[in-house]
Amino acid sequence: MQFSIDLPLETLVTLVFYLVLMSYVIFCLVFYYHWNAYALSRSVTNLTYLVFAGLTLPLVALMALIVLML
Amino acid sequence: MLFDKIALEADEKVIRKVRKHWFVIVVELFGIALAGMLPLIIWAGLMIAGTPEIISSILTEHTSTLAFASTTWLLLSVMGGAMAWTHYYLDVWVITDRRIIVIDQIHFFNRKVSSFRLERLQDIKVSIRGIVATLLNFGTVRAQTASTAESNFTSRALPAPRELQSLIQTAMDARLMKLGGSAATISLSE
Repeated sequence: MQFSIDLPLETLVTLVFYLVLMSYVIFCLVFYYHWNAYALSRSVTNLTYLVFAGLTLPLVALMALIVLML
Repeated sequence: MLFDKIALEADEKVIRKVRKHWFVIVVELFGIALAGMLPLIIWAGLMIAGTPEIISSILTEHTSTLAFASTTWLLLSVMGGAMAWTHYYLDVWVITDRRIIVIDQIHFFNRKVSSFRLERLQDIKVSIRGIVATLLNFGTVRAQTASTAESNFTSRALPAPRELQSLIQTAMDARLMKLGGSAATISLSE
């Protein structure tokens, strides 16, 4: 018995985007919790948040843009 | 913040906070950065080397999809880097004038916090192995307490381990002197 799914590439990319977005949000929550609860310095924590957001948010925006343009 | 959770005793002073040597995080982040750049490196390599007809047609036909895949890969790499930085920064030895608090951040959901009092410290061993460790002055520090074998603490790649050993030894001597002094005062007053 064989199964085959005929999924257009655009739909697949969109699905992957939502999956990655969900993982990213969960990661952000875990990341925030750890730094907020266990860090020893407030300034390093804030710098870490800033660098993380500065690096990841443009990438997420770019991914969303690509998905919208497909 | 962490010190709210540790709850230092009254008048307890933090002497030093020690993390792993910077070389550890630099190597880790460099590896992750290299892995993150892999799609770009492959892409550039294909462009320079000249691509066969079939690959060239795939590249032009699915540019958006490939760009999406590369961006996703890069995002996952940045997340990996953030995880490595978190493990590095939250993994720390806090040396106070009364005890040593060893925080071992193994993974996001695997964290070990141990604390032992300086007066219970029996032995502290240092080992520096390898060329890089010798040149950059980092190594393994093992602290053994007077209780069971489970209460031994080991941390790898700590910077300036000999200085750290001497610092702990000095703090321990000061603590014992203070405790001995107060014990003598008690016995004299009795």
